[in-house]
Amino acid sequence: MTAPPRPRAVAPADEAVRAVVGRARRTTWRYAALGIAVPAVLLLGWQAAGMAGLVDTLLFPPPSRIAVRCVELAASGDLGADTAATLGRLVPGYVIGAAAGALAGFVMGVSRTAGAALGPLFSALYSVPKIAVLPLLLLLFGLNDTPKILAVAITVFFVLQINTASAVRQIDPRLLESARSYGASGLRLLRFVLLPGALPGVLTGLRTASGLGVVVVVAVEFVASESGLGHLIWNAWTLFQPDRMYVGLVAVAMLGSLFSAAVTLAGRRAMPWRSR
Amino acid sequence: MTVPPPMVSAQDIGKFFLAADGRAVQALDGVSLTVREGEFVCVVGPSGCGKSTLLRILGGLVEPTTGTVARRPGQPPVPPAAFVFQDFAVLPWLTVRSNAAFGLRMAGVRRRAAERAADAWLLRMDLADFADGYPDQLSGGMRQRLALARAFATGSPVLLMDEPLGSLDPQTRRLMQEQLLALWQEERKTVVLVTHSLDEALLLGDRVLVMSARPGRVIEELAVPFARPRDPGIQDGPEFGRLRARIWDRLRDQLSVSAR
Repeated sequence: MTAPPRPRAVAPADEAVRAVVGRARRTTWRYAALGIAVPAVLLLGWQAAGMAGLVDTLLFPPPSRIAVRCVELAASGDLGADTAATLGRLVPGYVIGAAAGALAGFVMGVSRTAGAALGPLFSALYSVPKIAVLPLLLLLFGLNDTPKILAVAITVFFVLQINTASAVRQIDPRLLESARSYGASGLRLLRFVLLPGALPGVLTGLRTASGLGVVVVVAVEFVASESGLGHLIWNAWTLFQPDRMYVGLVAVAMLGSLFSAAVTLAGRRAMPWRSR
Repeated sequence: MTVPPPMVSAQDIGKFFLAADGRAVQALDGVSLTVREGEFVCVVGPSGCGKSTLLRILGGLVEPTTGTVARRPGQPPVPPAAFVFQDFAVLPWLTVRSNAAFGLRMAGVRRRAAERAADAWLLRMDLADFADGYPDQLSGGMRQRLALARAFATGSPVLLMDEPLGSLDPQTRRLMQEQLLALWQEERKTVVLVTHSLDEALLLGDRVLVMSARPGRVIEELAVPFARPRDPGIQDGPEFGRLRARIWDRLRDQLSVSAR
């Protein structure tokens, strides 16, 4: 008698699995490469056009010159100092505004009375462009960092307040009922149901606010500051230094994307149940 | 033989709701019922007849507009009643273990003790391997078993189930009915189960209450004659079919009332 044939089916199935995984991985890589290739090609085109004299290099200095200028500014410490100044306004403003906004939104979402009392007032205030109150803040607090931090905080506050309040109200009533049926109330309801239930909405607010916070801090630094990336950009305009201006623009863009990436990452860590 | 004491009894329950258009709608009208210790009572009725509302009133989740409910108080930390809902209603942000322990935690049991009790029930419900995962990673049937584990883990003598198997596919549902039957026969809890399935009511219940179209009243009460412990095979016998036909006759009139 011959030995039974080895289960051959395993090998082809294995191969099929590998093929599927390989295809998925290649697709992922291809899209990632595309995302990098397009900006790279655009930069190269800009560089080539500048070198060929097709664009005015005074207004559009080629990327290589911007890069050189960037290294110079970084080496001299100017870029670092301006970035630090901007962060020193953005981060405290963001943290204060986010904490106050999330708290206010939470109270307004949980308590119908608070929602009724504050809702109309806050939606009226929300429609005031926050940057428009900067002169008032300058008048109140003088030419220091306080009005700049507050301008960021006010912007972030409203975004968080609105997102958090609606997140609390949108918690699935069936989940609330089921939690209540097991006797959840007060602090336990807060900890086990309301806080985690509202978290996705809070994080949406945090992400939106991170972008807006960068916009506001730069705008504030344009007009009322002697330091910071906003001042760097504005000052480069008044002194007609386009390459320095581009360095500022690139730095702001990177600051903004790193900031929202950090918020997104923190959000993922805070919500392990939403993996994938 | 002594009659077991009543665990939940409702006297002349009426319930009015305010509908979205501002009109008052009567959901229940003069419902009385007594559920005794260890009894399995099933409630069937047309959609919207107020049977889910009745269940919530029995559990104290909703206040009746008229009438009174008496529950035998639980021994803290054991709650007087534990619910199982149709759409599982397990909390997506808690792990499977924390969900199973949820009822105990809410009753004030310390985390360690609650999780030990939860783990024992997860094991019985075949969910031990998923204890550290999240409900999103479970199938519908598994999520429903988790909801059952959460209810059983509280140790509550009364289980109130609202269409607990209603969102499962027919095969899973039948399997879960058999599991529920076996589980009840081991635990002998007092159960009120609201269901659309006449088979489910007859397989599991000691008594079946048939409710009318809205406003819901109890229009028929039927004692299920099958001896305990029951075998799921009774569903294929002639007596089962006869009882089902009898309930269906009563129910059909009510369905046409509510369709009109």
